[in-house]
Amino acid sequence: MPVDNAYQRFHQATAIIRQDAPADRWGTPPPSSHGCSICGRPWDDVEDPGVAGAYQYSSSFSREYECTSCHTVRIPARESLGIEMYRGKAQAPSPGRLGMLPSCGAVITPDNQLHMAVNKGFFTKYQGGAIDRAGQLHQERPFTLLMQLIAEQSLSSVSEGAIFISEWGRKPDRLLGNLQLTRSLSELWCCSDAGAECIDLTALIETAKWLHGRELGTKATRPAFWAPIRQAAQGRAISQEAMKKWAKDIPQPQELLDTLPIDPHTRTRLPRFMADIMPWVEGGYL
Amino acid sequence: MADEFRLVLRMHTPIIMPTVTPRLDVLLHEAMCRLNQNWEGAHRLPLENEAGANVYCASQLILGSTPDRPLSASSERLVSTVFRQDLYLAGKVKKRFGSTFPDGNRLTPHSAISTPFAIFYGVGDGQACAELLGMLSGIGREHARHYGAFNVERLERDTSSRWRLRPWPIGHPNAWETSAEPYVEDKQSLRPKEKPVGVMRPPRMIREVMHASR
Repeated sequence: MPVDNAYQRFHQATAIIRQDAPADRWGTPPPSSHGCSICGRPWDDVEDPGVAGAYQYSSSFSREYECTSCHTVRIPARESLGIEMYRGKAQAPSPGRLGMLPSCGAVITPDNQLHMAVNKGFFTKYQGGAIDRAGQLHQERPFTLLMQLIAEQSLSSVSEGAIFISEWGRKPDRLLGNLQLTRSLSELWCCSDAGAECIDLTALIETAKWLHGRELGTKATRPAFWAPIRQAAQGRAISQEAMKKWAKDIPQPQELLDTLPIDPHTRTRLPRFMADIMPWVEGGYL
Repeated sequence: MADEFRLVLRMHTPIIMPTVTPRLDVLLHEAMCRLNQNWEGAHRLPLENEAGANVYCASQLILGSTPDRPLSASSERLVSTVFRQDLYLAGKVKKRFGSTFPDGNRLTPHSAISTPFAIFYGVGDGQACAELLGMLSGIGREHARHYGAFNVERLERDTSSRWRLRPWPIGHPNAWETSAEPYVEDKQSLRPKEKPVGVMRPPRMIREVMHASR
């Protein structure tokens, strides 16, 4: 179902996390607060108008009020995720939170499914939680999970809006303050706790297919193959000889240059992307 | 005087691309607001109106690179969100940092793109548009911190109709569709100061390879 912005999609997909929050976690924001302290939207525009969760980093920081969507990442999700650790002498259980998942990510599909990509440690800890029982906890890298969902056609209606979280990280205010909705795979927004970044996945897949079709697939996963392209994208001068030497091994090099994504930030990371995408192209899934 | 024109801007500093690509009519509207010192309501712009769709004939930002100067990436760390909180909270934040300036890890990373040229297409009074753009200090995010600084390099007559590279109402026949620039469905405002509606828009980033850096 289509949505207007990323927060609506995030809100619908994370309803299961908010079920873990006791009712007294929610209150009304004070009149001095004009909007959610993370996403900045006025209290009338958020998904649950006039409902806020209070958050205080420590006693020397002021109390902040967050909308229900943004506050979701602060909720100790005992039932939906599980217990992350036992703290102190008393071994008090400390449930996991979405905002404290370093090197883990997620994909939210247009039909509001929250697929979590977690590392081995978190995968073991969150076995048996509601998300795991629904089959939506995966021990994968976030980008691999994304490719898997694309291969399964779960993102075929991406124009209705999906979210790709490449890193939950430890700074959820930055993640949710910059949350972006992906409406096309040619503009895939990778949301992380360092901000959101746009990559052209369609062009990357086309590049991988082009290279695979000319039996350059293995070569293309090595950084040396992309050296001149990456150096140019980093703003370094490329000599004509280096470019000619590079073009010698490639049939129709101009065709490859036209297929590559335009964004120089993506071009600097081409070997990594090719290594991630090539197995799916070689397997014939894309 | 209503001609199709092409404005070529020479960029002096990297552009930090916003989520929504800058558009000529929106930039001109901001310049008009500054000229009149009035940010309320809509101003008349020296651009033609496309009557069927009720949009200005003005393209979005197109990055112009040359064979010897391709687009290049850089990461800029700026004090963008350290003090995003209320002022009283900023006091607390400052206390935590001490008296020193926040270090690199605390700053906000921005993905900036260095491009030799930026191009806009439009229909209308090109000379007036070029003069109005002089009211602006830069294009894109952090323009107040000298990112996206430009000057107008040249104004040319143009017949390529590339001014149609802009958001259009869904299903509008006037949209420019080529295989190289497929359209994306989105919610954006079609005119300055209007509410976002469902649109078909070109990709966020379009590059045009120019012949030589004159």
